[in-house]
Amino acid sequence: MSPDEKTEYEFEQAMHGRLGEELARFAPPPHDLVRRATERGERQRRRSRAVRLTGAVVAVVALGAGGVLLHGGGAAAPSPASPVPSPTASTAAPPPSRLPDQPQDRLQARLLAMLPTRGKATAGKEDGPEYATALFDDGRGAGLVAVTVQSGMTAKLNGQLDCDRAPVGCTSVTLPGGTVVKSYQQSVDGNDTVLCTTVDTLRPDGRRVVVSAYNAPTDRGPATRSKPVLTPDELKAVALDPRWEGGAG
Amino acid sequence: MGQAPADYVEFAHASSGRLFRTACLLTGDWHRAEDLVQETLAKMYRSWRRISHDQPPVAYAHTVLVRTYLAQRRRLGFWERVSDRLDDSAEARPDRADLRLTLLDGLARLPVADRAVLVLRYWEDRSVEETARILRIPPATARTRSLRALRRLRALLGEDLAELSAD
Repeated sequence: MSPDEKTEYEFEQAMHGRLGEELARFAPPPHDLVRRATERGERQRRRSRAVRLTGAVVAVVALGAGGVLLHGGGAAAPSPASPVPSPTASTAAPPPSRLPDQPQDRLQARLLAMLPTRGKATAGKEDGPEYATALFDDGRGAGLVAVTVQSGMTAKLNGQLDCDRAPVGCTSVTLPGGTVVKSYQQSVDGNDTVLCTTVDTLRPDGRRVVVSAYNAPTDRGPATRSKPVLTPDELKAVALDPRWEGGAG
Repeated sequence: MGQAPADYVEFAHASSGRLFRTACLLTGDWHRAEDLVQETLAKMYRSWRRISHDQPPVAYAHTVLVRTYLAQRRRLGFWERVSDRLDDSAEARPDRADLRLTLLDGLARLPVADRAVLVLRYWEDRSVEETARILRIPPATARTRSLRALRRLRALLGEDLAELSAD
């Protein structure tokens, strides 16, 4: 065994014990951890059920409307199988309360609309109220673009938008209106193969918009081009777009 | 809230401490670790009836924990990694406190996948094959990544390495 291999072996052997000692630095978990986790699970289960029910109601309404059209008019009495309210009743009814994760709360459509016109933007796999992705292809290789929008982040970030521990080349500036803009590029895989450029912004009202572009169609590669698909300036334009200021997040 | 199944509650109480410790090593932060364990147990709660109980669900919960951690980090992007902070509320013991800071700090500076592979291999004592299955990568990749992560950690710890491996 070479000296290097010996050192590595000893290091490996010491890891478990040292990791255990590291854990002594942490306070124990909160006593109500299980209760809160169970409550979170129950909330998620109910939300999921509500979304499914909403989908079912929408499907029934659509089927009902289709049935009415097929049968040649809206004057007929509603079919027992399609409890569709009459147009008059529908107009008079109060608007339904918004359920979480409805399409208007999702970010992807807005992201697609904000991407530069020099390339083709298509929907990515993720589309939620806080996170969405798109694929952007300018003819030199498609790259992933991801956006995260969060609210009430001022206290949580607590000065983390500086470049103290960020990669070389990071810049952080405060715009005249008070919005902080931090941008940097780093290797995702540690080998400088898959690269990600990120612009992280925090508005004075606590809204945070983070936009990242990759040189690969997924955040795990493979790389399709040498540089990320959007430039820092293009990312900045998307992150600072006023259209993020309404609705989601 | 509906009544949680008794066997779920028993499982959650029995496993939460160990899940929390793994989460602390992965996230390097008490609050994030708590959130990660909450999310993991919430997922277990939601799918409790569908989970195979032929084997203890603890191992599955750890798989859920690591995958949830990786998914969260992917979603948040990599901007949060560079601003990772060590837990401010943790009480550092006076002896070798500098070394502990260095090892946790070293872990925090590794790429997320490297950190996960080290925690699985050297804290949870998972085999290469188990690590590969949890991370959804081929065993050869898990082996390579583990070796690479160790070397990176060694490089980050620098002179502290000798002290770390001396005992």
